[in-house]
Formats: sequence, C-alpha cells, structure tokens
Amino acid sequence: MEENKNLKKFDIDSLPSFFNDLTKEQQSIYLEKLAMDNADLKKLAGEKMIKSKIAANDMDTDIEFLSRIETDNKVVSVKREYQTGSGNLVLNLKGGDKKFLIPILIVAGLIVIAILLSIFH
Amino acid sequence: MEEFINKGFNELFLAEMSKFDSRKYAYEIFFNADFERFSKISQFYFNENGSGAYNYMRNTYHSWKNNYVTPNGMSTYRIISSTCTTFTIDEKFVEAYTLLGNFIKNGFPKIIQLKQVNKTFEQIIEKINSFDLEKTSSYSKYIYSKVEIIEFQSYVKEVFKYYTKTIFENLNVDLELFKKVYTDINTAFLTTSFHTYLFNIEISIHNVVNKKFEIKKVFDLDHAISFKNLLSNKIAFFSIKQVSQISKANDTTKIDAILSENEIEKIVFRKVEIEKSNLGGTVDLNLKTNSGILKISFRILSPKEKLIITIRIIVFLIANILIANYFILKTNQLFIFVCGLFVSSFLILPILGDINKLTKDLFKTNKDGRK
Repeated sequence: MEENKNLKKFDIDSLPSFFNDLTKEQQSIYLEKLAMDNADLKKLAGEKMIKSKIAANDMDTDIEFLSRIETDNKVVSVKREYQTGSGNLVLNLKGGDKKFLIPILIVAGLIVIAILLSIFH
Repeated sequence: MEEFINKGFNELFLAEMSKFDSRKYAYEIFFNADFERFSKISQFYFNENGSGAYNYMRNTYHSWKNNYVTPNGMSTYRIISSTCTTFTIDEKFVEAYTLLGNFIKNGFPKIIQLKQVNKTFEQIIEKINSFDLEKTSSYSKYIYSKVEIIEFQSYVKEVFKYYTKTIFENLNVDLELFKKVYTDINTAFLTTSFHTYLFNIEISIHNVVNKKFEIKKVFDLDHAISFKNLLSNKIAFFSIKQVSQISKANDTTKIDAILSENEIEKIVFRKVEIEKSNLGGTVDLNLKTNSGILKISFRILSPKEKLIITIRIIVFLIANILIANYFILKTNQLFIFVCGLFVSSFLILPILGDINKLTKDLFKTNKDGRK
C-alpha cells in the first residue's frame, strides 16, 4: 500500500531503468529517498535563486550609486563581494576625478620633450 | 563521520574526503564510544591481546583519555585495530573510498589541456582498476571480513568510476558554457581557470572558441557503468543511499550550471553598464558548473585609463624620434641612443600587456562594428 502511495508521486517513465530490477524493499527505500531528495533539491534551487537575486539587486544598486558618484567627479575605489546561488563575485571598481592626472601627464611629457629639445639643439 | 555522511558527494570528492584519517578516527571513537560499542571493542581487545593487555588497558583507560599518559606504539595499535572491528558500513565505505582517493591521487596529471581530457580520463579509470584495498589499508584485516574486502573494493571502484564518468561526461555540456564566456565577455583582458570537481584537475580552456573539442561519450564505452552496477545486494540499503546521493549531487550541479549561465549573462550586461559609467576595475567570478569550478577574471579600463596609456605611448614615440634624430642622424652616438631608448622604454614596458590587450580589443570592436 505504502509502496503504491509512493509510486503515485512519481512519473513511472522518469524512474531509472534499474528500478524494475530492484526488490520490493529496495524499490520502497529508493522511492522514499527520491522523494526526500526531490524535496531537498526544490528547496535548494529556491534558496540558490533567492541568493542570486539578492546579489544581482545589490550589485545593480552599487553600480548605479558608483556611477552617480563618478558623474559628480568624486574619487571612487570600492571592493564588493556578492554571494550568488552558484558561487561568488568580487567587484573592484575605481573611478572618479582623475582630471588632475591628465594635465600633469601632458605637462610632464611636454617638459621631457622640451628638455630633450633644449639639450640637443 | 556524521559531517562526511551528510555532505554532498561533490564537496566530499573535492577535498574533504582525503582529510579522513581512519586511525585518528578509530582512536577518537575508542575514547568516545557508547556503552554497546565499547563493549564490542573491549571484547575484541581481550580476545586478540589476552587478559594482561586487557587489564592494562582497563587500568590506564582514564589516564589515556585525560591525556595524563600517552599510549605507547603497541597499545595505540591495539586500540585502533580493536575499534576498527566495530566499523559500520558507512565507516567502512568512507575508509575504502578515502584509500582509493589517495591511491589514484598521483596517477594523473594535475594540469591539462582540453585535448588531453580523454587521455587523462582513461589514465584515471586504469588507476582505479588497479586498486587493491587489502594492500592499501594497514588495518584492512580488522575492518573488513574476507568477503567484505572484495565487496567493498569492487563497490568503491564502481562508485569512483561512475562518478568519474559522470563528471567527464558533464564536461561536454560545460564546453558550451566556456565558449559562451569567451564570446559574450569578449575582451582580451579576460582570464579563466577551470578545476574539475573530481580530482581537482585544472583544465586550460582558453582556446575553447578556436578549436573543436569533443570529450568522449564515456557512457558509450565498453563496460559502461550504470546505477544498476552500484546497487549491491549485500549492502542494499547503503547502496541506495549512495546512488541517490550521486544522483542528487549531479542534479545540484545542474542547478548550479543553470544559475552560472545566468550569472554570465548578467555580468556581460553589467560590464557594458560599467563601461558606460566611465568606471574601471576588475571583476572576479567563481562559478560552479556541471563538472567543476570556473574562475573568470576580467578588467575593465575606464576611458581615463585608456587615455593615460595612449599618452604614454605618444610621449614614448616622440622622445624616441627626437633621440634617434639627434644621436643617430646628427652625432652618430649609437651607445647614447641605446641608453636613451632603454630609459624611455620604462614609459611603456610596465604597461606592455595592457597595450597589447587594448589593441586586440580595439580591433575586435572594429570587426564587430563592421559586422
């Protein structure tokens, strides 16, 4: 009776081919284990998906916030770690007001060139 | 032991199972066993070692347990061997499994190319086949009966072969995921590394897009192994537990692989967003796939970083034109020209890799744009 009740929960075609070769006792144990595992897997998949969604949401918020700081010309250097459903992700972002650096580089380059020119002429 | 039993097969296969030390475990069991188990251990201790050794054990038990005295080599051997005779099926399995894991550990290369996967797979199967439980375990005669040793040896071999085949077969599915990583992220700043769940083999996947790889359909091989092979009648209940555990682990990896594919899609979208926002930086992902753990790292250069690289190249070029013009054409001082070249090379040498990758990316963007 119990066995039949267990069997009803499953699609017979989806059971592995060896199932019919098992003894009645083995079939019963297998179905019980399968039911437990299926429930565990559904729960696990749900938990993993939630984790991924939370990570995605956090990341979107962070990137949006950092872009806003960048457009306000503030210096940004941030390291964030997100736990996703299937692993983890580390985002290391840098940006902001580097305008002071570019003129310095140009001026330094020009000075080098000017020194070289004055020496050689 | 509980923690070993309750964990998924992938986790165990990865690293933890190899940490299991049956001697240490048996030693701990001896001092923490329940009454029933300790009675069995004591009985064996008495039968095997005689009343003198037994009485000595009874008298010094608490001193040993409380670390007042450390048992000598002979007593330690007696403690372990007596406890080993009371191992449960689960414990016997973990012992056989660990020994086989350690036995094959050095039987294959740890870092391989994708084209070497089939050969490595065959090497592993060959090594599994040559495993001899009795010769590998120093306490085997205490842990297993004559019949059991054959049964457990063949059983763990089957489990290992089945799981090896499952993981290698799953690599076929992962090949598409690897291709997706390279085609979608599409930057020369991308680096990847991939380690299989089983045996922790590092497979180099960087040329997955350029070449066609086909991992052998391992279940089509002669002497294919199925779940049915794993269902031993003698240890029926235990077998079913293991079979369903492998099946569950395999299903879990499938869930992980689907989620990982989604993560890759999302990160491609975010890469574009970061580029648009003028930010720069690095992204590192560790993702579980069908057959292992994929590490993806890439760098995003901000427009300002690109500009700085360009300026350094321009300054380098101008400086060298001037040096060449003066020292070669006017004064013919080759040595000073070489010195000047050497000094100015510091402008670009530290960023040579970046220049190379940036150029590749620019060509890629142009090609894609034209398409």
